[in-house]
Amino acid sequence: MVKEIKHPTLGIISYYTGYIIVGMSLFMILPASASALFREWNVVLDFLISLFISLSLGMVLVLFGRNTRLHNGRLMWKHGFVVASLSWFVLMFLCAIPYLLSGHMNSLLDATFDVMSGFTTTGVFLLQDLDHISIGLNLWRHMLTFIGGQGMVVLALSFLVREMAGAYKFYVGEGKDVALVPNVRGTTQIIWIISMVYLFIGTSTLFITGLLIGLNPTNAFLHGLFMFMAGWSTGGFAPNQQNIMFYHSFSFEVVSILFFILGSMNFGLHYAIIKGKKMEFLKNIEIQSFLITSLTGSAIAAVALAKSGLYSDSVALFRRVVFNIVSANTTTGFGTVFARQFILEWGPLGMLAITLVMLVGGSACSTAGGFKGLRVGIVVKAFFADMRKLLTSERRVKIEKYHHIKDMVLDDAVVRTSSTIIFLYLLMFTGATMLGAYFGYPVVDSMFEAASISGNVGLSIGITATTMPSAMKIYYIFAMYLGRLEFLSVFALIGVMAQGVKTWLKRA
Amino acid sequence: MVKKSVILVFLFFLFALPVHASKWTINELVENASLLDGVVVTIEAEAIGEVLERGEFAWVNINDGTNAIGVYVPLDEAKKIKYFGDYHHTGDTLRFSAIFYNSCDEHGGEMDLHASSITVIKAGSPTEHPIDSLKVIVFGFLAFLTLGIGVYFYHTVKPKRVHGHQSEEETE
Amino acid sequence: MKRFNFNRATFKSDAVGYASEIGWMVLYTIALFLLSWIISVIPW
Repeated sequence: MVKEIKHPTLGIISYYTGYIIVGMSLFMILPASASALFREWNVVLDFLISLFISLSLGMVLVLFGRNTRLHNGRLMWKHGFVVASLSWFVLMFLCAIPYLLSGHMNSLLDATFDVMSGFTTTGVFLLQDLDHISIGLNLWRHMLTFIGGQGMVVLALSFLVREMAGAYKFYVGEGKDVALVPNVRGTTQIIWIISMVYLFIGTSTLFITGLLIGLNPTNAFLHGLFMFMAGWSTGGFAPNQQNIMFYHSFSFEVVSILFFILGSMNFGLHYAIIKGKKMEFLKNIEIQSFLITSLTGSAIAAVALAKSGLYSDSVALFRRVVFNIVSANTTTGFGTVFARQFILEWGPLGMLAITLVMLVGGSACSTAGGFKGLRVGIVVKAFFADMRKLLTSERRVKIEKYHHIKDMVLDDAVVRTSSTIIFLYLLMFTGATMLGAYFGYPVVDSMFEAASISGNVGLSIGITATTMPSAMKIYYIFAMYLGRLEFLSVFALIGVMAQGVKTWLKRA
Repeated sequence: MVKKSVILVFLFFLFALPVHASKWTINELVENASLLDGVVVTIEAEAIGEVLERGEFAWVNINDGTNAIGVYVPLDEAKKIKYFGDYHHTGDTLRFSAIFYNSCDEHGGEMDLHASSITVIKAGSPTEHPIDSLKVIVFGFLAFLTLGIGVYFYHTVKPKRVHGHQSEEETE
Repeated sequence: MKRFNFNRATFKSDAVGYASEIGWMVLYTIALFLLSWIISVIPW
C-alpha cells in the first residue's frame, strides 16, 4: 500500500535538501573540535548551537518528504536543479550562524554574504577584525570554500550507499557534468579522493614552507591547511587581513600558485592525467584557452606596469603582476598587492587585462568561476570554423572538432549553449557594473568589482566593504550564487517556486 | 624687503608642512603610496600574528584598524614585542618611524615599511572571552530539541532490519 | 562504507600521475617567470 502524497514535488525536494543539510551540519563538528583544542570555549558553543539548529532543520525536512522516496523513479531534472540551488540557499543562512554568534559581523546580511562568498569560492568578505578571529571560525571559513568548491551536492552524492537513479540530475544541478566513471557515486567519490590526496600533499608542502619562513609549527600547519583549502578551491580566503602578503615570501607564493592552478583544472582532466594520459594536458581545449589568456593577460599587465616604472625587475613583475593575473584568471583571488593598488597603480591597460581574465575564468567542472575556458574556446573555435566555411568551396563538408578529454564534435547545439551562458554572465556583470555606478562608484572600479564577483574571483578594488549599500550586497550575493551554479539551477528554483505560487493561488 | 619674504616663505615650508615624520594610518599610506614613496613616516599599530625571522632581520605584521602591513626590522627590535594579536591576545601597540616603500626593491616590489627601531608604547594582554550564560541556556535547550527530533528521525527513517528485508531507502 | 580503495597496483601509477600533474604546474610557473624576465629586460 502506498500512501497518497499530497505534494510530491515539494516532498522530493524537501527530502533531498534535508539530507544535504544534515550532511553539512555534521561538518560543524570539525571547527567545534578545533576550538575545543585551542580553548576557545565560546566558539565551541557557537558551533554546537549552529550544529543543533541546522541538524534539526535538516531532519525535519527529511521527515516531511520521507514518503516520496518510494517515487524515486520520478526524479526529474527540475528536482535535481532545485535541490542543488535550494540547499545552497538554505545553507547560506545556517552556515552564517557561527559567524553571527562570533560578533565579527555587522549584520545578518554581512554574514550570509560571507557564507555565499565561501560556498561560491569567491573570496571577498565583510568580516571585521580578521586578525583576531578564533581558529574555529577561521577553519570554518576555509572549510566552506573547500566544500563549496567541490560542491555540497557532490559531497552528499559521494556518501550514497549505492547508486541512485536520478543522482546525475542533482550532480548537474550544482554546475558539473563530467562523468569520470559511468556512475555518479563513483565520479563524486573520485573527485573527493583527488581533493583529499592534494589536501595532504598541499598542506604538507605549505607546512614545510611555513616552517622555513619562520612560522611556529602550529601556525605553519594551520596556515598551510587554510591556504591550501583556499587555493585548491580557488576561493582566495586567507587567515589574515593581508591575504598572502602576510607571509612576505616568494616561496610561499610559488607553492600557492602550483596548487591554485591545479585547483582550477577540470576534474575530468585530473582523472585523465592521473590515470596516465599525461599529454592530455596540452591537447585539452581548456588548458589551451587558459595558457593563451593567462600568458597574454600577464604579458599585457606586465608591460603596462614595467612601462610605468613601478616594478623594474623580473621578481617584482612576477610576484606583483603575473601572480595577480593568474590568480584572477583562475578566479582564485589571492592578492600580493593591496586592493586599492589596482585602481591607483595599474593604469587602463593593466586594469583591462585583469578585468578580462577575471571574466574568462577557469575551467569548467572545477572550482573556478567565470565564463569558463571551455566555452570561450568553443566559441572562438566556432568563429574560425565559420570563417573557414565561408572561404572554402561549398562542396566540402568538414566536421569541426575540439578536444576535451576526448575528441568532441563542435556542433551548433554546443556552440549555442556556450554562447548563451557567456551572454548570461555578461548580462549579470553589466548589471553589477551599472548598480555600482548608480551608487556613485567610478565606472572602472565598478567594472573590476563586478567582474570579480561575477567570476567568483575575490580580488577587490575596495568597493566590497561593510559600508556598501545593502542593495549591492544583495545583488552581489545573487551574482556569486548564479555565477557558481551557472544560472540554470537557480532559474529552476525560481520557476518551481513560481509554479507553486500559481497552483496555490488557483486552489485558493 | 625681498629678503624678508624669502625668509617668511622658508619658515612657512619649514613649519607648516610636515618636515619631521608625521603620523599616518596604514590605509592612508596605501591611498597615497606614490606620494609617500621613500618618505619617513610615523606609525602606531598593533603587532599581530607572529614574528617571521629572516636572518638578522624580521617581519612584523601590524594592524591599526584601518589596514594591515608588514614592517621589516632588525631581529633585536622585533624581540622587544611580547604579545602578538590573535583570538587570545591583544598585541603590543608599537610606535615607530619607518621608510615607506610603494614597491620595495629588496622585497620583490612589496608595499612595506622599513624601520630601524620600534617602541612598545602600550603592552598587549591576554583577551578575556567570558562564556555567555545565555548561550549556554540556548545550547541546552537546542541539545534537547535536537535529541528529540533525532530519536524520532532514527526510528522513522533509518533502515529497519526486521524480518530480514531491506528498507526502502536502500532499494532505490 | 568503503570510500577509499587502497589498491597497491594502481597506487604506484597514480603516484606517477599526480607527480606529472605537479610537473606540468612547475613547468608552467617557470614559463611565467621567463615571461616576467623577458618583459623586465626590454626597455619600454
